[in-house]
Amino acid sequence: MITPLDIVAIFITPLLLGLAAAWCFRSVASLGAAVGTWVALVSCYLFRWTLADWTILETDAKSAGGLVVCLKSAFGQLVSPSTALEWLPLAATGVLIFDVIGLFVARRRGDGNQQERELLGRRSTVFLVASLAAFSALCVGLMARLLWTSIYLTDSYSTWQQTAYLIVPAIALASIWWFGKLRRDNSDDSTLGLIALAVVTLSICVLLGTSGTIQYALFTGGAMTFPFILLLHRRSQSELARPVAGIVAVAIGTPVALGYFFAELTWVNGLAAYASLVMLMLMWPTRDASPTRRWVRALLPMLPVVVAAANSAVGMMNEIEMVPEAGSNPYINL
Amino acid sequence: MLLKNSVVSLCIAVCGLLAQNAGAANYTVDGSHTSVIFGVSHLGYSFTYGRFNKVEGSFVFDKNDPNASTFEVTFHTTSVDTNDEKRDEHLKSPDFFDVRQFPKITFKTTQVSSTANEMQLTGNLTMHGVTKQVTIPLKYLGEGKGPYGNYRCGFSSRFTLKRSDFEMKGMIPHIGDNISILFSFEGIQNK
Repeated sequence: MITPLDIVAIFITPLLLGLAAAWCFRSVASLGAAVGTWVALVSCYLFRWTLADWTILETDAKSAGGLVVCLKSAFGQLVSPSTALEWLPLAATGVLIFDVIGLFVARRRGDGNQQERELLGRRSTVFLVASLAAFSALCVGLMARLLWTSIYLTDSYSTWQQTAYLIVPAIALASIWWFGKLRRDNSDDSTLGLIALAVVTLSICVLLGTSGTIQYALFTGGAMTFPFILLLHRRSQSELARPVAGIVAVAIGTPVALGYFFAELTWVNGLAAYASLVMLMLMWPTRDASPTRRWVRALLPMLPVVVAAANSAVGMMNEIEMVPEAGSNPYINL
Repeated sequence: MLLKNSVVSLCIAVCGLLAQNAGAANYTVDGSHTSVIFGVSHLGYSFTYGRFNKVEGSFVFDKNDPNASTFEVTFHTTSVDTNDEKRDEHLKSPDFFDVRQFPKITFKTTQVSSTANEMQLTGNLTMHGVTKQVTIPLKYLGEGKGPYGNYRCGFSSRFTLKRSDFEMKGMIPHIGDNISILFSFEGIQNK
């Protein structure tokens, strides 16, 4: 059951904090968008865990002191993760650090303000390939950590299968980041692009929620703050997809991979979500294109994941109707 | 002569039996005579009960010196069964047991203390990736030969855990935090 407090914890508070962070870093254009989305993601996890601890408290312990204890416990969870999903805020931090290092490397190479506008910096082929290799290695490490205690890295699976479980999702995540950075347009259409990002995120949220895990859906729902934070930045910078590509890959792409491994997300639905994220990064609408072309660029990325989410939701509804003792179904009762 | 041989044989048999039962003996948990039942509140209106169908383990037990005993048990979370396929699917998901990431629940004693009626097992319980020290009561039920000649020893335990202590916080308070557990097992003595 999703309560109004959940909405406050995973959406409203992270949004406000994300906007504040983005505003603080507004002088470094693309850094503001990246830091704002990162703050929103981290606070989404932090406050959701705080709320979970708060719910468990006895009524007489629900005081300001109790809230501090819950916050402290949630912070402990943030820096000392246990389940795969709990690693995502740290992973997003790693991605942000990676991008910021890219920015400073670019600055040292002397391209000044122009480079400041693109986190990754100077896009020479060597620099991009080196960045992709480093980011892919980071993603392989991330997948290894996420699957560490799972059945997928045990003798139940062959070495080839285990290698594929690490490499394939890592390449998928790296490619979302890569395609976001690769874009050469610098006149993003904020409205259409952000609508597309919101729809894709919401669809992935539905897809995960109808694939056996409410928790993954809730945390992915927190990424719905991203379009709003980017919207604030539409005046200060024209490039939107590029600075947040890494955070999007971690915050939205990784739960899709986890949904396949740990919940009931089918590989077809996972592929649809991945296709939409990649298309969104590649085809982000630009202002210099004709209106028709802009709409096509906004609508096409939505298609695979919207169809998959609708199909999954209808399938779940049909399944519920077919269960005679529907009262015993947790999705109905809660 | 015949009487003398019989007496010697009887002595050897009795000595063998005594040797078998004297001191600590190693046992392997017999999964088909082991039950792990858990109960959890649903919305505060009722309790839903479930079980783990696959349990493995071993123990060393000496009736005369229970404090020297050790117990090690593993519950396979993939075998969770609440008599509702859809609910079992959800229980196996990351919202609860997260069985593909944490396929086992393990308990290993670090200390055993006993009173006249029951033992207190203190040990490390690992569930959902979290290890915590817990103390659970264990009642010795009895031991002796089974119908196929193997030597058996059995126990039962009833205790309560908070699932939130193991970072399993999904849907609290609608699905209760306190989990009551009824655990009874039988071990077959290793030859």
